[in-house]
Amino acid sequence: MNGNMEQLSDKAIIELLSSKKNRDVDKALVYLNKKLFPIVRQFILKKKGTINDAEDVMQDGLVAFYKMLRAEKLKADVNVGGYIVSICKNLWYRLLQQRGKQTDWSDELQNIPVEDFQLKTKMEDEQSWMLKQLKLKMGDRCFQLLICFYYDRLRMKEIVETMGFSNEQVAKNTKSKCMKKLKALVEGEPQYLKAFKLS
Amino acid sequence: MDIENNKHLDDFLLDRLKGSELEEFQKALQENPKLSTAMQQQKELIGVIDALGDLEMKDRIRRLQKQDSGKSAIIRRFPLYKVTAIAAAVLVLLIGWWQFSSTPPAQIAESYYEQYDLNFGVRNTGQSEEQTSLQNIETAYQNKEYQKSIELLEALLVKAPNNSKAWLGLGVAYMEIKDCKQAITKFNYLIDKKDALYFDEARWYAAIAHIQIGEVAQGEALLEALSQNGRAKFQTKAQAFLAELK
Repeated sequence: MNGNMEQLSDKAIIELLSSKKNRDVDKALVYLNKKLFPIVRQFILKKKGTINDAEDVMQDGLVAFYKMLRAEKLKADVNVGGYIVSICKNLWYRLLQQRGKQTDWSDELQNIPVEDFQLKTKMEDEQSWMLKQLKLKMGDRCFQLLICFYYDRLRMKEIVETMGFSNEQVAKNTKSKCMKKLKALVEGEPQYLKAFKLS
Repeated sequence: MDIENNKHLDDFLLDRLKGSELEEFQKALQENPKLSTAMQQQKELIGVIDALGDLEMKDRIRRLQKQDSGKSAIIRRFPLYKVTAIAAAVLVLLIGWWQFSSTPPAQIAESYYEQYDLNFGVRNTGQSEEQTSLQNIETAYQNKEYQKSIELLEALLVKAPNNSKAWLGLGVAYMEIKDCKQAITKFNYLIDKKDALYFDEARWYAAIAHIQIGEVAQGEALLEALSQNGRAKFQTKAQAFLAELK
């Protein structure tokens, strides 16, 4: 790891991840990946995994943490690195169970820090492809708007700023139209619902 | 459904309602079947958006990981460098012997990789929208704008999901940006349906991709199959490739 890499405090990381600016979020993600991937990789390689498994779990762990942060489900004094590594370990444990491999980690199983979070297992490639098709059919603007509101959980005021709407009412009306469009697409092709209903 | 409850639907589903507002809304859900149905429908749609967001986020992290690994290749080797520095003299001799006796599978795979010549045979005169799209894809691909060609190919496949050449081109474009895992998923589409046109090409490229990411057994299995039942030129290439791997 680069000895000259700027060190970010937990508070700084949380601020960056909570930002409405993509470059801030990217900065935090790059930092966390650099800092934590060696730890996660070592753990997974020791526990019957491959490098690809480690990369997947690291991605899933970062996504999980991001979503919990955005949903305001984290304590203010959270130890960011420790928390994400715990998520990753937990994810790996569950994946091994799903693959039918015996695990004996009762002493390592941490308190699950993601009690209310539905940990999604790796999507089948076909499901992933179908959802990408849906994204293309929605159109870029609708996709971005709905992701900003429901996934990134930005407030309308922030969405107006980042997406260049003239005011909040216009943004709300556009959101409403985009939801109707999404609803029509999903109702027209039920496999889209199947694609996200993961076991 | 009244507007006030409609406004609260999102707040409820995003866990923003608290205290008495939450209690009142929960009561309204119990008493109003239409509101309850609307809530379930909204919840499903938010679930779809959530899944889309997860995909997007993972792609983003993957891209950032790749960009960053390009910048810090030297840094990544740091732990290995420490060991190499201590055993430098012995390693030089061992590396020389290793180079003479064997080559890593990924390196062999690299030597067999040739970029697929993506050509849809579009003529310049009287172009339809589809032909324009195909030409844009070719241009981006030939200009090595692989990310752009990927986006255009994905869009094309929404409208024309049976375009086998597009699937093949998409897989190779992913290989060009070093995303072998994604590339394999595209080739597998053609392999699984034993595509009439590009079955052999898909197996060939998938084999290379598998070996490049360390999945040597999977790659060898594809090469074995190609060497048995592929078209003549692929049989020859697969046999040569397998011979080098052994």
